[in-house]
Amino acid sequence: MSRRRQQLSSGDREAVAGLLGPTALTAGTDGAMSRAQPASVAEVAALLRLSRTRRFPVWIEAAPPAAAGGLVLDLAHFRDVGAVDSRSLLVEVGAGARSDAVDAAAQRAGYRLLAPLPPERTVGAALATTPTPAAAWRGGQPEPVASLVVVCADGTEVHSRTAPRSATGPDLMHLLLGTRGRLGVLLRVTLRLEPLGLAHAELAWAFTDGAAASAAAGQLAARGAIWPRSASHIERDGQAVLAVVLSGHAGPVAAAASLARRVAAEAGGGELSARETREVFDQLDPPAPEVEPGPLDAVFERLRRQLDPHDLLNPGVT
Amino acid sequence: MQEICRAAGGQDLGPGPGEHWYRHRYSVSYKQSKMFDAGAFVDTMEVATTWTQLLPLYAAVKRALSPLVFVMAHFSHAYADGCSIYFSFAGAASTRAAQAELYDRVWRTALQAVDGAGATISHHHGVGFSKAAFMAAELGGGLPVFRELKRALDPNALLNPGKLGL
Repeated sequence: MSRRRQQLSSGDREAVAGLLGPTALTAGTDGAMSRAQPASVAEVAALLRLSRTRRFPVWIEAAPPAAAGGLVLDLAHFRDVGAVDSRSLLVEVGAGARSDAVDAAAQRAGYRLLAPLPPERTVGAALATTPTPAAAWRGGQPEPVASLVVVCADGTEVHSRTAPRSATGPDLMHLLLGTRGRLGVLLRVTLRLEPLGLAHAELAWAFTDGAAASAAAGQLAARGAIWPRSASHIERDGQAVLAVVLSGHAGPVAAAASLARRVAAEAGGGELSARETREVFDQLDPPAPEVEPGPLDAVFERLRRQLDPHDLLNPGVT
Repeated sequence: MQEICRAAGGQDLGPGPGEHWYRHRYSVSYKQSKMFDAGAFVDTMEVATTWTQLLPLYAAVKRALSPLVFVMAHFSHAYADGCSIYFSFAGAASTRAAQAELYDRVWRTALQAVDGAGATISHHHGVGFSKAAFMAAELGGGLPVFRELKRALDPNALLNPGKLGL
């Protein structure tokens, strides 16, 4: 058994059924793929170790290619949405939960996800196929994922800690997010929330030059209209544009926006229209470009091969 | 803020404490070496957790260290989901060897308590050598993956060997 096999043998199916119990395996017939429903993190770890021993490929729930062969991991037992922790603004969910169900649960408790996830997808699929949503960093907000539970391709369980920040070396959690299930299977996620009443205002002004824009930014901070970190300064159409984000409860945000408009006007800024402002923020926070293969891809590939030398987990997914 | 603090039983101390901190925020005293020479020691440990776990963490570290050293704590960095809590501790022993033994024991004991409370072992100071033994617990089973990553980048382990438990 030195090479990866495309189809599960009867021996593989028996081994999977022996591991998870016969009711947790739906054997594929007539070329259809078999589906396994592991009930715990430990069972997923055992299953991936078994796949490594017996050399059959494993696909995570979301759409393997047609006739790919192997075993599909069905995350039906990981669809739970935990109670909202209203003291720490967190909610822990199974990776198989749909993002709209998580959002609805958060809203029932008076909160929303700090960064929205794509609707009609599972949380795991959303986080495995896109990097952490970039919008979360706009205005210096913290990132939306607080911690996760992953089983790596070699069967290693990783339970990252939930803390507002840590300085314990390179960030393993972000190494595992966005990697399309090639390094491991995402099983549980703790997501950050914000209260429903919060408002965000985006404002932008054009100045004749960068010095005027910088001086205005200093005035905005000095007079308490913004936190300094929420301001950005870019060149646009030969002008210097100052853009700020205000976040908070609706009343204070409206008051801060009013003060900011007054201070910026006094400093010679001309406020941009809503459409122009939107364009400025799109320019500040563009969609992630397609990344050309580079040195980091080679490092990623080396790590992937070390965790999955026989290319068994989501093989071929890029 | 006043409303929230009063509702939680807080008493307004006025601007004095904040202004005192602001005036003296760079008044660092360099007494650590002198204290070590005199047979005593002082150190700090900055860790972080969620608001929900913060008081259990404080209680666990205080309970674990109080039999060994004098210990106190303050909050240093606050976020929507949690906070960094900064423990300061001071102790003494009669000989240099006993002092070193107690110092190491205090760190081990403190980090065990932090681990038991599910907090991260460093908010911003980092790990280096002194917290390296706790990296396996910190990474929740992820240390082998971390080692694989290290091996992919540095197969001969030439760069800062031993740091971060690698």
